[in-house]
Amino acid sequence: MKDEDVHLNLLSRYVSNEISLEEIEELLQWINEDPEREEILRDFQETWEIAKNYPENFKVDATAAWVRLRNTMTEPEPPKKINTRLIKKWIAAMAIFAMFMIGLIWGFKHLYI
Amino acid sequence: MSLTLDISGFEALFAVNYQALCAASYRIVQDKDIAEDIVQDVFNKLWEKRGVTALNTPLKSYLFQTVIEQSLEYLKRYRLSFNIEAEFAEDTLVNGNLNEQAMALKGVSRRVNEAVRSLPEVCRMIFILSRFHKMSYAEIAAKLEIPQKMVEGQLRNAIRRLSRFLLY
Repeated sequence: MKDEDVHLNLLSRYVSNEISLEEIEELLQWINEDPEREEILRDFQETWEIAKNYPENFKVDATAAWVRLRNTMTEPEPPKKINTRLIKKWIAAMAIFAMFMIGLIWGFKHLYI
Repeated sequence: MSLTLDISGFEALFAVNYQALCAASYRIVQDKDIAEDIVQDVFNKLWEKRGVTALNTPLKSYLFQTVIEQSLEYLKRYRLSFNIEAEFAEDTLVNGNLNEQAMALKGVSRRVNEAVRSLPEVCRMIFILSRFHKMSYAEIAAKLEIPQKMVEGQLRNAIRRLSRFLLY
C-alpha cells in the first residue's frame, strides 16, 4: 500500500472515530512532518462534516403514507367483553357439586367402617 | 417490556419518525419509493406483532435498526452480489473524470447528494454505515460480509473522493 494511503487510512479512522491512541500519535507525527498535511486533515474533517446533510431536501408525505399503511393494517381487535355472569354460575355449580361429592364420600366412609 | 400500542399511539409513532426512517433507508437503497415501502413494511410488521413483541431496546432504536437491516436485505436480495472487483478496477480511472463531474456541478445545489451518489456502490454503502449509523469497521465488515481491510480502504476512498468533489 502506498505510504500516502496508509496515512489517509489513519485520517479516515480519525474522522470516523475508529482510531486508537497509538495511531493518533503516528498520525500527528506524520502531519507535523509536512505543513501541507494539515490541509488534508482539514479537508477530511470538512468533508465528513458537510456530508451530514445527506440527503439534502429529502421530503416524504407522511400523511399520505399513513393512509396507505392504515388500509393494509389489520383492524385493531375490539376489547373482548368477558361475560362474568356465566362464570359466576359455573363457580356456584362447581361448589355445589364439590359439596355433594364430599358428602357422598363421607357417607361411604361411615357405611363401610 | 411487551409492546402495547393502540392505533392512535401507533399513528403518532409513525408521524414523528417516518421521514427520518425513510431518509435512513434511502441512503442505503438510493430509491425513495423503495425506501418508503420498506419503512411501511416495518411498521406493518410491528403492528401485527404488537401483542407479543418484547423489546429490549427503546422503540425508536428498534425502528431504525430494523429499517437499516431491511434496507441492506433488500439490496442483497434484489441486486446481484456487490460487484467488488469492478469497483476496485474503477478506482484507478477515477481522477480525471471526477474533476469534470465536480466542475459541471459547481454552484448547483444538492451537491452533497450528487457527490454521495457518484460513489461506487460498496464504497458508498461503507461510507453511509460509518457516517450515519456509527458502525465500527468490524460491524460493517460483518454486515456486508467483506474483510475489514476492505472497509478501511473503501472508507478512505469515499472520503477522498467526496472531498475532491465537494471542496474544490
